[in-house]
Amino acid sequence: MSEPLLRVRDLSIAFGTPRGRIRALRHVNFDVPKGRIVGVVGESGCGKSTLAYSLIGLLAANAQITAGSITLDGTELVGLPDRDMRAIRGTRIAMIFQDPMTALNPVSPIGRQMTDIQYRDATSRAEKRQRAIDMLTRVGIPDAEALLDAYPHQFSGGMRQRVCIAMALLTRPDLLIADEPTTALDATLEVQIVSLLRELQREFGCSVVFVSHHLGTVAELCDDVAVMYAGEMIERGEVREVFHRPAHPYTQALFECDPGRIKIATRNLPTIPGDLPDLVQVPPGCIFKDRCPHRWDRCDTEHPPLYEARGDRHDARCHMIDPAESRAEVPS
Amino acid sequence: MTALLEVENLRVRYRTAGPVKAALTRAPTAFDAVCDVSFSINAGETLGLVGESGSGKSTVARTLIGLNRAEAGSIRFDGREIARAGSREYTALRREMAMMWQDPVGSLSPRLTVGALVTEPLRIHGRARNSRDEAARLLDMVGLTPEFAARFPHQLSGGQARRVGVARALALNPRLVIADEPTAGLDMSVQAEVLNLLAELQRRFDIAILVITHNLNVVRHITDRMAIMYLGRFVEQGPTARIFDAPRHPYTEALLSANPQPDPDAAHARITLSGEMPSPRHRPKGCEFHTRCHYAQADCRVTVPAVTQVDGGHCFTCLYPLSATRRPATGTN
Amino acid sequence: MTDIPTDAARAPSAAAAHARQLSRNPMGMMGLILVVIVVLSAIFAPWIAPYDPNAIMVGPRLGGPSAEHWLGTDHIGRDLFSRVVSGGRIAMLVALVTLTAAMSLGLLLGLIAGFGPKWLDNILLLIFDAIRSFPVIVFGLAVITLIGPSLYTVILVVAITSVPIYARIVRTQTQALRSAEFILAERAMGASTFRILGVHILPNVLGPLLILASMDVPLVIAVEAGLSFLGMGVRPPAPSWGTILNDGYNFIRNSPWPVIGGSLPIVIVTLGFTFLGEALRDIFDPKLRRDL
Repeated sequence: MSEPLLRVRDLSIAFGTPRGRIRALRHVNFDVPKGRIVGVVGESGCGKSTLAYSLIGLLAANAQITAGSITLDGTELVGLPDRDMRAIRGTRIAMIFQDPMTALNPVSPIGRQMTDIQYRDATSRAEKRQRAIDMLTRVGIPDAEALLDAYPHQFSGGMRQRVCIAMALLTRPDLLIADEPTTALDATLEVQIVSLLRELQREFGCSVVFVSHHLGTVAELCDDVAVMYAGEMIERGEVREVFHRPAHPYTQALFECDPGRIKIATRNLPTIPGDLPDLVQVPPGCIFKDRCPHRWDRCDTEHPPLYEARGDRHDARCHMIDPAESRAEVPS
Repeated sequence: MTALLEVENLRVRYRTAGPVKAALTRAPTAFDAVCDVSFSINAGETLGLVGESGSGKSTVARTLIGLNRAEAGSIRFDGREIARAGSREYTALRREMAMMWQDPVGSLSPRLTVGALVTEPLRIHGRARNSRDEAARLLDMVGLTPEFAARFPHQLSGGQARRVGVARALALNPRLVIADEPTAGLDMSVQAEVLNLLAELQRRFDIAILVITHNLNVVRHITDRMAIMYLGRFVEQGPTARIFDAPRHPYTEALLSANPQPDPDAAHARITLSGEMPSPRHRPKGCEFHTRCHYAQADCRVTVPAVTQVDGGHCFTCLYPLSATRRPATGTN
Repeated sequence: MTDIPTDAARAPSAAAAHARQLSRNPMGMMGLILVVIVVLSAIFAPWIAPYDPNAIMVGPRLGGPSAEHWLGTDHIGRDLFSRVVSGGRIAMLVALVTLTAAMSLGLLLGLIAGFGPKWLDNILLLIFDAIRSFPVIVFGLAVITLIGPSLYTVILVVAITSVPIYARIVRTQTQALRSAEFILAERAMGASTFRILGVHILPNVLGPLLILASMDVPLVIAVEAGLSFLGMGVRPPAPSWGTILNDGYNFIRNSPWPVIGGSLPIVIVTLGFTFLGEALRDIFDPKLRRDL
């Protein structure tokens, strides 16, 4: 198998706050193969947005990468000087955000914004304009030429997100990072955006990192998926594998809580009892131990590495699937 | 048995210009956010109000609670007409109807403690004796320990803030609770906490609940009946199970099919609606959904469909409704 | 949805967190110290001042600092240090009364303008703009011409011209809060307008107002000193810093100490209140917070 486009190894990020240093990401290992859509799912506090922002180098001022590496096609991104990172952003890595309204400059017409971001190209203004028009049409905006002079607030939410997608793909990046791009949209619009992303990915062949907490959307769009909990990547694999045969108790419990998966209507829906652990004083052992129904003493002391679950390219951080464990009744 | 709440032909208008401008210009200065909406809720029942942004569902809720004025139509609570009631009449009503808001922390006054917040309705209506005991009782009812009474809203997690919202809504023992997006912003693993709590309290106190949401998965589990709104009108309403099995209105079908299934192998025979919801200021002629409808025929563009009633309290407005025996390709099976 | 939920058992109160943040801001702490010094010396002026500020001393006039007269004497022979410290009393009194009056009225009018009907808002804005269009000193001189110069005139002038500033701040905040979800919730529960304004809006608006007022203390003092310097303010022999400055200005060739005595406290007060106010503003305006 060819080299992955993006390789994240042992990435750890901490935030400095008045309460102490929050260890938001710990030892994350993550690969994005060329030309595939990788979903990152998790709930509040899992660190998926932190991971997304670290890939493009847009972390907050109080964030610090304390360990690990991020390599894009061989180039190390951690510690890269600002100027070099800026050269990569927008050309090789692009990003679309959750709220299209705040991602666009409200006082500049979108045509100008779209030609501005082509500033690195030596082509003429007319050519840049034409590229913008072509891209807008490609993402499904009718009458693109006329709309070049429109301002972001004149578009509806779904249209604005399409504009953002057009802007991100204008420079044909190798990697597109999407941070909850459909969370703020209604279901029928989400369907449109998701199918648009799928088409564009097939056409341009870029890799996509799709961060979301909508399990259904990830199941439909992504080829691979990584599940995060409280700053750790606790399961990853092909999307079919993970969704049909989740190996980690958190993933299993999460799927069980999805009201969409529950066949018979009920007034007593399942939850995952307990709270997130404290990320300032990270407890030893497995991060999920306080809420796990299968906890035993090994979980209290030993932090689980990524074990291979059934099927290749499917890993999970759970001692239960350690092949050395005789307990290994692999959960189905 | 009279229904607890009966709404008939409700219309709510929003003004876009003041009276001076309205007199001077000939352009329309108001638009209908809600038109011709009729429904009823019985005691102890849960009705779900489903729709996308701009459908008018929040407007309906705010009109019921008295924050918007009803332009036309009638709202009867327990037999009493309240649609154009004055604020004094509404005061008594506010003891019987309570609302839970979408933003769990933002709907709590930031400088008040949780204890003060849950007893606020008591203070407003002059029943604030023993407020500390009352606060403890209300917090206990929603599963929060008494020490939460000293916390401030910004110190609460989303789930805890939601519980405080529930406690506050129940402070005066209302007969009807309107829950605006009760699961918005909550992780899936804790959504059920609020929903289960509501279900238990509903059983205990025989409360009717109007749930406003765009989350169809939640609607399927917690509502007895549901109504689907589009551009300020009800396009379909009826028993939840029946609508999920066999929706009659094309918009309902599209909404159900847009509901993403957490199953990578699920048939992706998705109905993708074209375009977006038109603005209520420029309503399409004829059937207002015809601009996006897959099945639109020629007369859908000109004829306004009447309400078709079928038995079981199921009704819809469509000239060419879907078959009653159809099962949608991607339902919740 | 990326905030990490706080553990209810360990969350500190808001006030404690703010106090701790202030302690980490060096400028703010310096400001706080200076403010405390000034306020305490104003309160305890009669006990700190070694002599009666108006008493004419036996000894050199315009003498420099010495063991008996820490800042020296003025042109009449009064002890400068006593006069400066007593002047602090006048300054603080003017600042306190003026700002309290201005804030109260500004708060009231701002709440009405922000929460009331549009026509009332328009009328109030017109009044505010009218008052603000006069430069303070010119307005002051006009009032003084009408009712004569005195401490009360100064207070009146500064208070009236400050009201529109505070009212506008309060009005903007009130307007923003008007459509906040928790206000809608209160209305939905049947809270009266008074209750909403008094219990739910006022406490949220007071913070920025107090910070602004604290940063205006130097301004008020400067205006008072300015008017007194022009001879239009506090009547002699009252030891306002402005009067001290005026007297010293005429005799600056003989001794710089009266001028220093009159201006140094103004500098200290300005620095102190400004640093403190800016530190408080950084604490209370979350968008400006920089955590590290």
